[in-house]
Amino acid sequence: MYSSIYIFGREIGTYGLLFVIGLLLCGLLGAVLAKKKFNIMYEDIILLMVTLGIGLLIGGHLLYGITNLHNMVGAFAKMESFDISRIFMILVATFGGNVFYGGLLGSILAIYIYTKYSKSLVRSQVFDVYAVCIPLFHCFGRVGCFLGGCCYGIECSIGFTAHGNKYLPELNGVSRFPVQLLEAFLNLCIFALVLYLFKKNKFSSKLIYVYLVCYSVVRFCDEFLRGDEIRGRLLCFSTSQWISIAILIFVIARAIIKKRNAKQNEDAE
Amino acid sequence: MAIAGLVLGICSLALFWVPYFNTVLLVLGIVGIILSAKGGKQLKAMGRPAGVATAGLVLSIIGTVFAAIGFVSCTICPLCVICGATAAF
Repeated sequence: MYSSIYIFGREIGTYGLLFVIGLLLCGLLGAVLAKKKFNIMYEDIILLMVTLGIGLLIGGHLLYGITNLHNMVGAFAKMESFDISRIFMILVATFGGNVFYGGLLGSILAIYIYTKYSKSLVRSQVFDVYAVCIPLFHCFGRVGCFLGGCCYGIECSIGFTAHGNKYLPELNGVSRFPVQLLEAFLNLCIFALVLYLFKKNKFSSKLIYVYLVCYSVVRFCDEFLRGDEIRGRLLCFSTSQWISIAILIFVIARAIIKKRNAKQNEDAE
Repeated sequence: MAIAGLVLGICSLALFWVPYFNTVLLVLGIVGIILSAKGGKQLKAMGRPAGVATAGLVLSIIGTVFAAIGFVSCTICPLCVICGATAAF
């Protein structure tokens, strides 16, 4: 599609541009919501955002690398002599990409660690604000994917045909389902739902679970419409579908345990 | 701490357009944000004006955003990684 634009003669990738715009908008939205509802100092929000961003980057690249480990091992096995540039190339190819689920889990872990040591932030409040912001950020990311040409859909008569994509020649001249735009729209719907619940004080301290359930269902379904083969597969499902199933089981199990504990406490009183 | 954040913010904003240097500036900008935010918190706790910290914070954020656009666009673009994977594997 439009993988890059030119600003003052310099080539800027649309994926990167939308990634940064999404990050900025969500940071701003998060700061406003946190200040209005929980009166959190904006310095705290900024420090949290930096930690969260680091977790997002590390988690995203790490999970991408894990799904590519077999390729890395194969490439190293084929190497005949010690070649530092070749090793660097293999490492970049293995860990260079970014997977959303890795970023999500990495940033959740980063929030968990940060709030454990922070004296001024309450974990459940931070997770509530995070649950509102992350689907909006993901929406921008998916539009970036669509413009860049990655994460594309299956071949379909209803769709878009790319021409002249120099990075992914298999994309050119084939009508493909715009699965990135579908996921962006569904993320926008999740954002509207979570924001509504946040404003109405419903599911307080549990909004992150609402988001995780909604997104894991969306992701599990739209993975069937994905046409790129770079993602890892295990048996009949892709890696993302297995992660979606694991998240869904985790959230349901946690809800059951919490409900049981609350009932036991009520009975004890 | 706030002054160090301001200096790093000015550096990242002044030099973000230099090709290949934006990776270093991205890290410097993030360090500038952390120092300015921490400095601002300290100054507020002491009841002193935090103008320097706020200026450092704003400049560091702007510098980091511009450096990040360059970094994400030219350094870790997913399409280039896919091409790299085809060549490496």
